[in-house]
Amino acid sequence: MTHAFSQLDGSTLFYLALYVATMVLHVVFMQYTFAGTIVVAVAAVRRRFAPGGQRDIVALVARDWLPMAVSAAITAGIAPLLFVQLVYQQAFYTANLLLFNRWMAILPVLIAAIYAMYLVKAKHVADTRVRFHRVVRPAAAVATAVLVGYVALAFVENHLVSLAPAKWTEMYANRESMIVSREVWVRLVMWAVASLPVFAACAAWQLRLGACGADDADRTTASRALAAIALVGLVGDLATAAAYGAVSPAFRAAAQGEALATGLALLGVALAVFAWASVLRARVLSRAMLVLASVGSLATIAGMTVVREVARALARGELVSSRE
Amino acid sequence: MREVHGRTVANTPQSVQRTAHRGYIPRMTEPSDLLPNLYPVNDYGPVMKGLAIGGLGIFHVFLAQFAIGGGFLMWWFEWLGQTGREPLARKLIDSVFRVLILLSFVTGALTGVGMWLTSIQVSAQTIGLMVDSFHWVWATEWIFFWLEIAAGYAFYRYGDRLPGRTRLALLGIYSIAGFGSLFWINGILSWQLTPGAWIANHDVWAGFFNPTFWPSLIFRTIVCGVLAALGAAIVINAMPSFTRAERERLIHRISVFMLPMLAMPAIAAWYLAAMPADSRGWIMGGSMVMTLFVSISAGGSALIGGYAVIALWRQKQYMNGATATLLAAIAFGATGAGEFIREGARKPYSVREVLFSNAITPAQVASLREHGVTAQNPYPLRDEADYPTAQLRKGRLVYRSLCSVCHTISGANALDALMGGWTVDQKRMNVAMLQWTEGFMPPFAGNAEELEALIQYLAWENASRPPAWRESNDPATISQIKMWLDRAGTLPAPKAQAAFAAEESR
Repeated sequence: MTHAFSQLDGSTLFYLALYVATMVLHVVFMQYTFAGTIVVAVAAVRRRFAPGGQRDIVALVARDWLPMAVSAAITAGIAPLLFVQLVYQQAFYTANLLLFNRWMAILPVLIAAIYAMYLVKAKHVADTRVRFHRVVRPAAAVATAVLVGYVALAFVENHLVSLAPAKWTEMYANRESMIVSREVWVRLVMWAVASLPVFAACAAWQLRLGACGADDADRTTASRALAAIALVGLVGDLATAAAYGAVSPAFRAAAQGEALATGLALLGVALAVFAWASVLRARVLSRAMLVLASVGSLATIAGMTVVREVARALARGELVSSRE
Repeated sequence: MREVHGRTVANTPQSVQRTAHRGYIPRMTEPSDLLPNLYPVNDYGPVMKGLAIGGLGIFHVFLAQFAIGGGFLMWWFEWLGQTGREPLARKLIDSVFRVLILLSFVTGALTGVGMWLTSIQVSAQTIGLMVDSFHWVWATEWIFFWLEIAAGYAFYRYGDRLPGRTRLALLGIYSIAGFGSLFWINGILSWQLTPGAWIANHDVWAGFFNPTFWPSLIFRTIVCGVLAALGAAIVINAMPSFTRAERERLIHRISVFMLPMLAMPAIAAWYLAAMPADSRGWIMGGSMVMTLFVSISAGGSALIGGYAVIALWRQKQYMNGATATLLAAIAFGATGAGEFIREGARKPYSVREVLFSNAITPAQVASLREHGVTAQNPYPLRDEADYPTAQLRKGRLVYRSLCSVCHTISGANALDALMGGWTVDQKRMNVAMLQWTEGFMPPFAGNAEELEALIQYLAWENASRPPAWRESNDPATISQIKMWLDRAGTLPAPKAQAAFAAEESR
């Protein structure tokens, strides 16, 4: 247990544990949504400029399930949103207020994104012989990815503002934000690449269960694509975490200090790399490997969520001790 | 470091908070922990902050209640269909359910989250107190959200392949979960107006099952049924595959969901009786704006209810798409007026007896009268250079801390319009004795110098911000303001008047 956590009273620790547990659940759905919109957008644009060819079963599954995934992400997000108001009330509220309209924009942006998701999967725009349909679907798919990306950016910025009480007065007086900070963008990229293996694991299970009428041939094709997506994400995880550690002293200190959580996250990455490398080699979405990949992803999310909270506590602790 | 309100605090938001709350990571557990000026305040220009929360709230409540009623309507039609009483039931369910999903799962769910985020923007202290007091109620509501979304999506995706019993069960879970979310949130919202025994014992259940809980819940449940029926009538009329005779039969069936409106006058009377007397006074003629909204709500409901009972039920008339849409628009207006009444009747509180609309607690007023409300504000003015004197800057800070949550300078509910016609001395006295001037206003929570600064700032704004402005430092004026403040007391209306009368009688 870190020094930061040892200072917490029992009830705060209890609420913090609930926050972390519900956050892990939210992150699973959120990462499926985040990566899913990217996969669907890339597939739609590719199909726009290179029509014909094999159907992209991974993009089909994502397209079909994205509206449900984002609803689940929003519903799952309510609990951490509740507990963050209990545990970090002043910091969370102040960040909300300082970011004001850019933060509040996530509501109309998300509504637009979800209706765009429905438009992407609508049968009314599926006829590739109609020129309008050929434009609408990729445009809506790209718009969805951009809008969801904006929401991710807003959450990252909000979190980082909440960690910087020393800057609040200045930010308020000068109407400043942290959007130009390198930390925001590195953290956003870290979230984006981390979402890929989670999406790959979920989509693989969906294909195994026959989503979108997937047959063995589809699964064989998809296994290669999903393994590639996951492995890119896992390697990216390590690279972006290292990059983020370079720009965020609190994150670096948390990752180094909280060995158990960091170890859990790294063990998760190792398990997932092994599982997806096996899938890539065998071209089969075997149950055993998917269990391993899923356990690995969950371990990584859990470990990183704890590291995130330790980093938050450390950032706040350092600030208070320096003032005292 | 400095001494404020009997506490030693440093002039930073972080350390202010740490001093005020237990634990390393602070949580507010008592209303007395709330501190003024804890949060930065944003300027909405000519838009009153209440309009932001009110506009979103009305939209959300309308959609959410439609979704809850829609669930029960679908469940009932499924039962009618499975028991052979209504052969068109299945077709109707498949159509209405898509509308439910597209509207309630997307816009309804997101505006629900939006209500939280907007509440933070408008009054972080209020929503913070609500979350601190009722987080387990919200956590329970979250479980119901999951049930609702899981049952709803399962029905949406696989309903056409499922056996009858499973369909009925899914729709039942969906409906009960939807109603559950109304049940839980209703306790928190009605607590704001009538906290009941919670004030004394802070018991969650005493606050949850407060005096207006049941009439509010029953009233809202009836509204859910009405909105669902009107929504279904629009969908039925929009479906070309139904014949005129089929539409007539379906519309007659759904009109059953509107019949409970007959009980609305009795429920409204119950709700009124459970309200605090002064709040009831505002809406029953004490404030003409509030009374007008009561009239809109009651008139709109009477129109819809009368049409449902007489035309649809007794005379078995047909309701076409235009009429259904018009009635839905009237229902939207009535819902909006009802929500406005609910918000307005709480004045001057955001949580009755606990927190004023400007996030000052009644217990803090006396202390702020002595130390001032601007002394402990870590957030400076964003446009300091625009104000020619230090007194005007102070006046702007007072306006930002105490007034801006409900008023603007020259936009909605503008102070220019409300006070522009008063003389300067009249302004001083009326603001000093604010709870006497208007019973739905809180007592002024600053010292005499701050009040004078506010008056000067408003006069300067009223004069279109001239580049030069003379400071008003006359000791006689400050002394007069102090006398008015003392005479007004620190209690809100009607307690201030009662205390004054008691003192006079002694």
